[in-house]
Amino acid sequence: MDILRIENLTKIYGTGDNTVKALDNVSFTVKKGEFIAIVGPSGSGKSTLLHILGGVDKPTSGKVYMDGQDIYAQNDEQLAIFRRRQVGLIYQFYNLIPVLDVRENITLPVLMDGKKVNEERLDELITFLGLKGREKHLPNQLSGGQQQRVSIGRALMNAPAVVLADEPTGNLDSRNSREIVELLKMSNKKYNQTLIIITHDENIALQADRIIALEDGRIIRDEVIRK
Amino acid sequence: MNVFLNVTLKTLSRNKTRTLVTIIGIILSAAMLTAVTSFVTSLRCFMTDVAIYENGDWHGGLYSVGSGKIRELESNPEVLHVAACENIGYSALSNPKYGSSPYIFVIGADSSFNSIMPVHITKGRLPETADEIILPVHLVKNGGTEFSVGDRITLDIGVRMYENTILNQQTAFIAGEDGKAGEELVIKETRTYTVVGFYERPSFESFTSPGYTAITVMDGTVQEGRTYDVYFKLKKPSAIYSFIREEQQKEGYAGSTYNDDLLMYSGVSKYLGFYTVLYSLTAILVLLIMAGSVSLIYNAFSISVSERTKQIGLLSSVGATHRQIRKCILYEAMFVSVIGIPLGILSGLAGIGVTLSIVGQRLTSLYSGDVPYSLSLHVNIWTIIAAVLLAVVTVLVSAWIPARRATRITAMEAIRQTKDINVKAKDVRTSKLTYRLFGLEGMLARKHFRRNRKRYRTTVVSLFMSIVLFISASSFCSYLKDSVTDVLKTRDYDIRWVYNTRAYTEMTPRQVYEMLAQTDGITDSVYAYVEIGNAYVEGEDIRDEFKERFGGSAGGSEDSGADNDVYEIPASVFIVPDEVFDGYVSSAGLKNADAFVMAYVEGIDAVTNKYKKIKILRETASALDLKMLRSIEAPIPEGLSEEELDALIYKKTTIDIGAVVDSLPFAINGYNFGCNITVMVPERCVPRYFAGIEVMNDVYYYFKGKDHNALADKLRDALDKHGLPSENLFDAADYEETNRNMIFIINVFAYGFIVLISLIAAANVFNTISTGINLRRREFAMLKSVGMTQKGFHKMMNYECLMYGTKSLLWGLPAAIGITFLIYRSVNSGYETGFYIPWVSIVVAIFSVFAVVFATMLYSTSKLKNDNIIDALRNENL
Repeated sequence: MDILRIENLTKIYGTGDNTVKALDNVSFTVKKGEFIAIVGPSGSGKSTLLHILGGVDKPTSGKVYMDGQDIYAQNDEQLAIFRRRQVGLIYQFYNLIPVLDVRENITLPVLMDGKKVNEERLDELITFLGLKGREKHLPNQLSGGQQQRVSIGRALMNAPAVVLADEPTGNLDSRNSREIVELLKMSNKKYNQTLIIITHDENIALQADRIIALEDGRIIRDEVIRK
Repeated sequence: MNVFLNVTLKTLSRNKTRTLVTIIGIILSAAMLTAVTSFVTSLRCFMTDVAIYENGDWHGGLYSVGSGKIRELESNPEVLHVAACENIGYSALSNPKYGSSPYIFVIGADSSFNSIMPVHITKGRLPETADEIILPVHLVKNGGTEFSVGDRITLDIGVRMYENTILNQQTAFIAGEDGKAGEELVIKETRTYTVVGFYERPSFESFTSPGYTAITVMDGTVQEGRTYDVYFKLKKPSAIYSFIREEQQKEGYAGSTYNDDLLMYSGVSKYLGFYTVLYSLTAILVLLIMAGSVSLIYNAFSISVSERTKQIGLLSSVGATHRQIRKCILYEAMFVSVIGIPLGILSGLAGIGVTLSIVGQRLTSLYSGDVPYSLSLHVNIWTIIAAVLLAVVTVLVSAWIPARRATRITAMEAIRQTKDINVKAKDVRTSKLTYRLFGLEGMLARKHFRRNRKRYRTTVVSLFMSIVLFISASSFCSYLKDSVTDVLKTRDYDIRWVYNTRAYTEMTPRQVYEMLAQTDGITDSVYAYVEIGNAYVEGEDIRDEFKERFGGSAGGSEDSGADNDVYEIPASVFIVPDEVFDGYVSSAGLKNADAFVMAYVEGIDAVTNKYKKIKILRETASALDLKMLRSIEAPIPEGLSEEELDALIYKKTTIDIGAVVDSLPFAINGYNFGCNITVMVPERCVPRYFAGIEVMNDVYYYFKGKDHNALADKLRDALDKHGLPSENLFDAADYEETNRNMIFIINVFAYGFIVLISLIAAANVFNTISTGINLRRREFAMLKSVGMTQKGFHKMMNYECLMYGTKSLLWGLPAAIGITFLIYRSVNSGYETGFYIPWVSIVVAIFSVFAVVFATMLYSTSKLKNDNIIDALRNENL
């Protein structure tokens, strides 16, 4: 089943002399539960693509359908809620709220909904992420790897349909990198969550089910490597 | 707790300094608003109290009503209280001073009358029974009577009749004229009273009242034809006009009155002049305060949004809606308000309370009445509510735009961590000259300045406003001071009194002087006859200096017909007792002569703005032509030409001058300001020089004493005792004191206000600059990593400081000087002065501006000194 359908996506930055075509008429579909790695050189448009998928950046033209719904047909408020519940974004630079502790950072999307936190699920996640005992710590009291795990926790808390990760291991050492990818893979298998990772690392890319290669804003290769 | 509130609070506690500065800004603003509202309330209270003291605590009055009306009013639910007096009747005075007031008018007060109406005892006590009476103090002076406390007086009391109508106290005395008979006093009864006290002249007795009001007690017997005057206060003051109008339609209506002053201060009267002025001034002040505060608080929130950009972008990317983001900022506003506003209100009340206790006494002394109140702090719940509302509005207005801006922060900005996509090359282009003159650091400083124009503009505007306000206020105060203190600059006497010899013939002027000179506490005194006229002086006797400055205005050619130009200059002639003249001659070491002359122009030089005194006459002047009013008895015939008229009205006389001197004896220094020649002549020379001229009519008495207030009172008493017009007594020292008080008060309020606004501006500057530096930590780290030294870094910051300072001064100083010019123009319309620039305050302003800017920079950069370069570059969780 297609969880994600991208049609003729184009993104142009800048005006006049300085226009940059980050994405040029990109189209593809994603099945539920797929683990996709997006690769490509710098400036190929990977991050742009991810951000548009995550509802964070608007396309210049083209459509993105998640679960059959045109996400950019929504107004700002609906889009915000979409971001809260339907996707989970993980960035390269941890992007945690520095004044909130681990627990609060992870439960951020739930708190925004004003709903009660499912303590069981939270506990499960924290154990899963290896953060037990650090619930009350602030981000500046955590190592790089731990901060990234918190990011992942936040992305997974609401059990979104799609998890998008932009170079999640870019800032980490090899051991931490491996662990992070393991976590993401586990989540992908366990919860049948669709996972799309942007990465430079060949090793990571090869662990995915499918690799999409971008160059100059266009897909140059779309290969399923694992069934 | 709401996660957004949680995040906001934690962010605020992280940035303690900025949060504190914002709270201080709100405290200052709430304090000033409270000060204004409570001052208005206190002033209103004071004016109301004064109005009640002077005129009584009533809204309306009805004259000559029957006793039934009193009961009717008392039982009327709209009426708060009633005071009534019985019009007992008139008794003729044996020797009244003024023919229009030949009676004593006896009224019987009911139990509330003496407390509700302005009956203020000066001696003795209030009457308690119907055979006790109190008399007004002016009865002694004007009534030609000699009463004291304890006297038993018998009065033949009756009604005033004219053409078969009974007249009441509202009708003036009707005298007989041209054969027609005037009013008649028909005696009805005789009563005996004991005088138990005296009271101040009441406001319910007009100046043209036919009788001096004496008060006894209502005796309770209902007499045929007795009328009453009743005064009442309504529960709703605004209803008074319709109430009285209704009464006017009723039968037996004989006249009514309103207590205009009290009604006005109760906010009711048709003549709301007081409140219109007060409220418009208040509104202007409030707007100024709000404008100043809004600039600070807006800036604070604006900075907060900038600092929280990353946080807000992140929240947005995780799924916060616009409304939730906006709430983040508004939570911040709420938090600082909840702490700041109550503290501000309390400090505002405390501040104005202290100010009024210092200044209140002086303020009430400005008010020319003798009231036992001073302006003190009075507040009610509305005062506080008004202040709170204004403060809340100020904060909301300031927070609104930053809150909206926050919603526009996209998640992309947070992710990318830079907003510099928007920098356009031409914005940050600097000239090669900058680089050559100021080096790399200067160029960087300038580029930074130009890049973040909006933020820097706020700082510059804050500084600009402070500079302008400060210098304008200083100008205002100093111009005002000048315009007031000049007037009696060289006065050497404290008290001056004058009377006309024709109006009083019982004692000679000398006898009057001797009588007055016996008063306690006089250190110097003199009397003289003063007349004015015009002096005609030949050009050769005039100094060049005078001719240069005043040649045109002081006259040109005159009627002398000679070749010399003749100057016409106003002159005052002081005819002094012989012994005063002789005493002066010997003490000044002069040769005896017929006259001495002092001739100056005094004033503030329009060019140098200094007090200047220019002599008019040369020492060689030996004679003076004077033109003065002739003594004329016969009426002036009609149809005369101008010259004939002139010759008929005026007479010329020539006085031999002994010497032109620099000073004359005590108080004979004449009119001090403007252009004037003062001639002093002894009495013995009058027949020789002033025959046929109107002289020796107005006698001026001058006194100086240690305590001018007490002396003035004693002199007034002495004058009253002898039936002389004490109202002509002028306490010049008191007048000057009043002006000084006014200046002091204005200074206190003006500078107080300025200091507070400046504090707000300083806080603003601090906020902006320190945040700007904070946000550029990465840049600074990068510069350091590339190799900029600490010294180079300081140089760069110093250049920025210079730019802030000079930009704000470049705009602020001309604006301030412009406003000073406007102040000069408005003051100049009333009194002549020169335009001068308040250099001292300009220097202070320049110094303060740079001090604040540099201090802020130093403080902020000291916090950066210890930054680890790499951490700063990464800019994580800083």
